[in-house]
Amino acid sequence: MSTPVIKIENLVKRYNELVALDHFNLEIEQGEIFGLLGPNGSGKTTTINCILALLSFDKGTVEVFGETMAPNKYKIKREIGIVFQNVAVFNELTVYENIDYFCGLYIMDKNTRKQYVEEAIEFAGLTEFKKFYPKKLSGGLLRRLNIACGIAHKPKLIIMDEPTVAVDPQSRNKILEGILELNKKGATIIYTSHYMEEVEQICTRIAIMDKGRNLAIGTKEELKMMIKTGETISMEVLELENKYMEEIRKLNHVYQVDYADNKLNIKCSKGKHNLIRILDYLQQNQIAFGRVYSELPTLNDVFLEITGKELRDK
Amino acid sequence: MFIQLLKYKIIKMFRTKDELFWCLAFPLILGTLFYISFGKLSEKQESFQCISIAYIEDQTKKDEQFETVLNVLSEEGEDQMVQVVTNSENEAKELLLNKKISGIIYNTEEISLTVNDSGINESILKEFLNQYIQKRETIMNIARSSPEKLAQLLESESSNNNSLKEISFTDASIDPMSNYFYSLIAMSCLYGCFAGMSSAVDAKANLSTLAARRIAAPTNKMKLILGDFLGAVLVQFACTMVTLLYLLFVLKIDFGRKLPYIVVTILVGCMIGIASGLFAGSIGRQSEKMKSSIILTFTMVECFLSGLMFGDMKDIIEHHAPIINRINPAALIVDAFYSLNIYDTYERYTKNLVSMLVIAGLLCIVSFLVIRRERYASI
Repeated sequence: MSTPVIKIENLVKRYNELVALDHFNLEIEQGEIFGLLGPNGSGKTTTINCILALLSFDKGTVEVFGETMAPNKYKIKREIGIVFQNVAVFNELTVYENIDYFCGLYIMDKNTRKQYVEEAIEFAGLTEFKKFYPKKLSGGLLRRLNIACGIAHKPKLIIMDEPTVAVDPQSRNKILEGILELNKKGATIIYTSHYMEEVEQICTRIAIMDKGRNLAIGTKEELKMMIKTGETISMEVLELENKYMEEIRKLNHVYQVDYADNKLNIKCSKGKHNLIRILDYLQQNQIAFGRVYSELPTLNDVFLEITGKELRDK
Repeated sequence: MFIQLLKYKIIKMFRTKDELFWCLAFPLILGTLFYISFGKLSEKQESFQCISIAYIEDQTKKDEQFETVLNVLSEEGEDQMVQVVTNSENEAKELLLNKKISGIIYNTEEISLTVNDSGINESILKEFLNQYIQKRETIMNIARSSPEKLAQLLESESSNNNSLKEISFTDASIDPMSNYFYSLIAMSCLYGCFAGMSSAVDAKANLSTLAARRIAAPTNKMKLILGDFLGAVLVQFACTMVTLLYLLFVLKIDFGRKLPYIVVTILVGCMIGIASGLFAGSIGRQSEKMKSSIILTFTMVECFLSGLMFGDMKDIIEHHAPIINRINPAALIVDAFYSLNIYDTYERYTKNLVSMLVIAGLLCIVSFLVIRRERYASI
């Protein structure tokens, strides 16, 4: 088995009384796009800062590429690219100069750097904006510049902390495609986001964290298997007496029934033919129904069931 | 990589409008304002006109000695001090009332002066009469008590005619207004604090995300700080040199003939300015705006104490709390310029320069020790 790109064991980080990371464990293998999901304050950014050796911690170990991470481990740092949640570029430098500046912190050779910078500009779709100052860029372009600055040196490990916050759908798609492309080229990616569908779309494995703890980890299919919900069936029903609701609840695999505003929602645990069974029951009891939907559990259901809260804290 | 860091620090500084204003435009504007104000002041001093007076004497008892003195002072030419307009008392009173003359000198029982106003002319007349009376009394006393020494006294009086004159140890001229321009250059050097402070903020991951990105890179912090420091010194030095050249060649301010030493002083002054900013930026977790306000206030106080707003301030401090002048960077810069212009030797100048280097060095060391912290407790 190859050495994990990142191995975190029993990591504890306290801010006075607040425990930001509570015996947190994580292993990320090479070539993964690893999603780190969690509500605000769950410890995602703290974890990233500990991986980068920016933040001190109270207990535990952080290994990157098989070596204990430290601020002076320049060899390891050279292989890491970071895209912070806040855009971190110089307003006084142009798009090209910004990428060149940050790439220059990693790549000494002028010609190689020039080539890498051009490639990063191309990758981020910023060719037309090379000479623009950050203040003249739209939010989406600025985010793309932020990414280009973090990946221009072709790192083996890319850490992206909510890179698509406040980005329009077109730019978001461009960014997500770019991440998949980087991964195809061999980079391991750690991706944190508030947007469940993004994580579901690109991540090969996902960890759900809350209150500094790793609550669940696995592929999206594995995570969905961990929860009770197997299928959610919704339909329009004009009238439904309570006795029918009670009887539906007693059907096999049904564990939750809600009826409001002429809408019937039925949650079923894993099992086959749930929809047929419910429709049969309605027909037998001559209950009229309209449009019927059947949905498999989403990552949002997984998150809700595991953490008990909405991911997008308002 | 170092060259790359240096290059971009210089580019960033030249593109930061706020910094450019304080480091380049503001000293030029202030220098011009100084020049205009002081120019008017010296024009006023240069255009001295003789004082119109009336002389009323007792016709029965003529004072030939005083008349001789008055005649000498009334001789037409550059040195003419007074002009006797009338000898008629009635006319004199009317002229005085209408402010056509500055005073009436009565020479009856004794010499006296009548004025209708208080001003420079009136003060000059009063001082002149006091001196005349005092000297006349002295001569008469000696003539009475030791007449044999009278000739010696008169000889001594005539040779001592010029009394005291300010001279320089070098052949440079001493302009009392120079101190303001020295302080202006000191201020320009110390405004490097803004660039120093932004360098510190860009190197502390707990102050900005930009710093976190830089720190996460495989670059030694010392190299990051040194690149920024050197870039800031070069830009600040260039800006201050522009100010100096403007003062020298456009406003024609006299900075003496030791230009290379002045340039060295400016270079070290810029270093101390940037080191101060680096220090202010590295300590505490206040916002960059807050730190900017603190450092600007601090710099202005330093410049005030060195005589930027009140020329004699440095001398007052020297009299009451000399230690402040020894540690105030602005005062050290001003004193270095002053000693270059006044003394032929370089002892005092070197002392100032060494003090500045020591302060800059200490500020840099402390800043680096704070910034080089390996990991942060919170970001």
